[in-house]
Amino acid sequence: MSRFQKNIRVVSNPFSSLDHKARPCGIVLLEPESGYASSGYIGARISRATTVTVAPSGDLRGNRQDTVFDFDATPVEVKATPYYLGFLRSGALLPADEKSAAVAGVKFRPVAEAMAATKAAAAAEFDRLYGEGSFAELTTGSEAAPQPTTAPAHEETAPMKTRKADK
Amino acid sequence: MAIVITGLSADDKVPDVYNQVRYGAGKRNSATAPVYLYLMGNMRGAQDASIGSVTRTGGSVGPLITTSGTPTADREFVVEITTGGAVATAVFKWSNNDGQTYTTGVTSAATVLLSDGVTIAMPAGTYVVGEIYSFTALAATTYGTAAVNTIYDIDTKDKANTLFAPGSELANMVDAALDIPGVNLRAIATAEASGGAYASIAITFGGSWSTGGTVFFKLENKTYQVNVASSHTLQTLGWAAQDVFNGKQECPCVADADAAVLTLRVKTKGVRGNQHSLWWDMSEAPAGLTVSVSGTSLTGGGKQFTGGSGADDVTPTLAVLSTVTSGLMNFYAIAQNDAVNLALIEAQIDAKSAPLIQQYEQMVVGHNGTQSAVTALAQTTLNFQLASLIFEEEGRDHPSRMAAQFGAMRAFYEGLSRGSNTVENGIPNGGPNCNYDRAVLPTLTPRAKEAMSLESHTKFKALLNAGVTPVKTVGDKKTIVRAITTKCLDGISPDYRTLDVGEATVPIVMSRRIAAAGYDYMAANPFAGPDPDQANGEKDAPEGVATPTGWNVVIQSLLRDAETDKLIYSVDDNLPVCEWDPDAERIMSSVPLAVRPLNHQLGNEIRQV
Repeated sequence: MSRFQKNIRVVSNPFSSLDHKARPCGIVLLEPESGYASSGYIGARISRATTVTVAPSGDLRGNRQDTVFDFDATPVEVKATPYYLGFLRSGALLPADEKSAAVAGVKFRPVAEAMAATKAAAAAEFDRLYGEGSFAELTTGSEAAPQPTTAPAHEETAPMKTRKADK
Repeated sequence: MAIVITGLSADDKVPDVYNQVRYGAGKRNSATAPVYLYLMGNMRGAQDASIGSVTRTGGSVGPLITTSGTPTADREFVVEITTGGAVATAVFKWSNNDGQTYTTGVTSAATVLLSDGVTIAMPAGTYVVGEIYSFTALAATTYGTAAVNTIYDIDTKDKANTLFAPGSELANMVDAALDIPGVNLRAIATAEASGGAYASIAITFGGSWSTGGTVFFKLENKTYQVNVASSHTLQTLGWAAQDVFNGKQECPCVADADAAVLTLRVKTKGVRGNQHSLWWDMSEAPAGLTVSVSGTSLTGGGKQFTGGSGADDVTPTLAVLSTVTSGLMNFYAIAQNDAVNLALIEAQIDAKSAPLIQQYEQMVVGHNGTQSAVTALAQTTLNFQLASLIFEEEGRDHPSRMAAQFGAMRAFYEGLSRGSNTVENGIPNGGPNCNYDRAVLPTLTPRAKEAMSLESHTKFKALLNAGVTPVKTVGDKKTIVRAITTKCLDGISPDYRTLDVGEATVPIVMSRRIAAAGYDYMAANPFAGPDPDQANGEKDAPEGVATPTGWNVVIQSLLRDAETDKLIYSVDDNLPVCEWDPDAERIMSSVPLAVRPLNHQLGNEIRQV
């Protein structure tokens, strides 16, 4: 095994987690780098279009929001650090090629196939939790599947409210 | 800009002190009222009488017997043909304790009553010597005296065991919470998942050995010591291990040995059963004995339970809790850690914190899954100032116990009116602005040394950036890295304005203090009006007339006291503003609070010269 750190190509696996509305939210934060604030995700970003603040009319307590993610299936090249390898092993990230899978010690499956399998498993698990048909009930009529976009694979979010990068 | 209190319209005539806590920007209660921790989880559900399917071994060529009846006791039946032949000729022996003892020489018949209300039917055919039929019979049983969705005051672990059944999720939460002395505890059981399944794990003993020894199994914070005798067979070792697990009433599982396989089944149904894990130590086992365990592999060698399914529904429980009032504030330690239930709980806590209700509550949830899953939960479903999510990746403690113990710490320490806000010997000294850095969770389970690779500065940093409270094993103790709220996003931007849990709690406490002072001020000043325009010669307001300036003095006094208590700082730069609302004819105030930062970090550059 090489003593030099390798790069790997990975893709976010949206359906590795579902939110309370059965929407995909399998996010992986960019690895925090020493001395820098970490924000942004691998192959995902918070949807500007569909993330909305949840507040009754006139309620100024504010800051509650219904967060929705946009996912991008474009492979992202990252260093093969323990941080990212852990997400590959847990299935939150998918290897984009056989070489990357080998570095992580996981089985390679074509991304579309792996993503579809994860979605099917997530839907089945959601139904096991909340009753048969729950996943379809929440997702029918909405577009739950991740849509490849032309946006960058990961994008820095807007400036944070305070500078508390390393806590 | 006019001061606005949400829901308090200009035409609202109801007398009261209306406070609104705004993060990043009670009603007649005492500011020193007790803080309660409410535990929410499953008690052990009732078991219906049932007889399991018949398993046939030893040839499987004879007729298959069937069963009927209503069992009156939990039994493991074994029927073994000892003389072959047709019905009325064939002879069998049977056992109701999994083959430990037998009733022998029983002649076959169309139906035979065995024991405990169980009958077997033997259809026509030729029975074969050596064929063994086995099945399990379970009697109808209720566990625990509590009713679901009913609030109970809890002061002892024994009481919890009586109410919720030993080893149930909720009883074990009580066990963890009461290890924090002084906590005011209440508990409410949520009905088990309808149609849910139990999680389980199977331990298979194998090999052969000629000496004695010990196998240590570890389940959460308890060790189960199975003494292996040189005379044990695989079957008798299974029974011995079964007795060890079942001998500890707080064990979250029921053990059942069948031949060399010991199955541990979680006592409460549902998907959270899968969040238990089993670890074992063979260092003192006799040479030749092997142990293999089913389940999902964990880093460092443990195995996670599988097969649990179904999520309970907190809706009826929340209906009961919706009427709960808080003197100062209450905490909820919640076993439910699935997205749908957490969204429901969050919505209720948020609604109860509204200015016209002012029932402040905070929720504590545990998680021991993956970093990706917990990050998604914190950033999407929660992202809430009044929620904290304590996490240990692939942790050995069940998340409900983590939530209970951390919730107990928060309820007790943050419920103290003031404190030095330091950590001594791993125990936070308390106060609303409590610092939990390196605080020890006293009876939770440290991470196995083989799994320490799961902890790193990088992971802790990422988790804290995502609204998750990580824990870390230091020596033989599980400790809190830093206690934060799940609030971490504002739209698409990171938002850490309410990061430490104290930044959520201090505004609640100050709201209560201002409310208490407000009632006193209203009692002393039954009349109100604007500040006199002294520049135009108006005289001071007469005795008994409240004015913005008079009320401002009271608030400032409270703020100075809080500054002394190290709850807030920079009061001079953040003075309250009070004004007269001529339309509603009331005093409206805006009170900025700069919560005093905690001493989390020191940066030192060490320069050799």
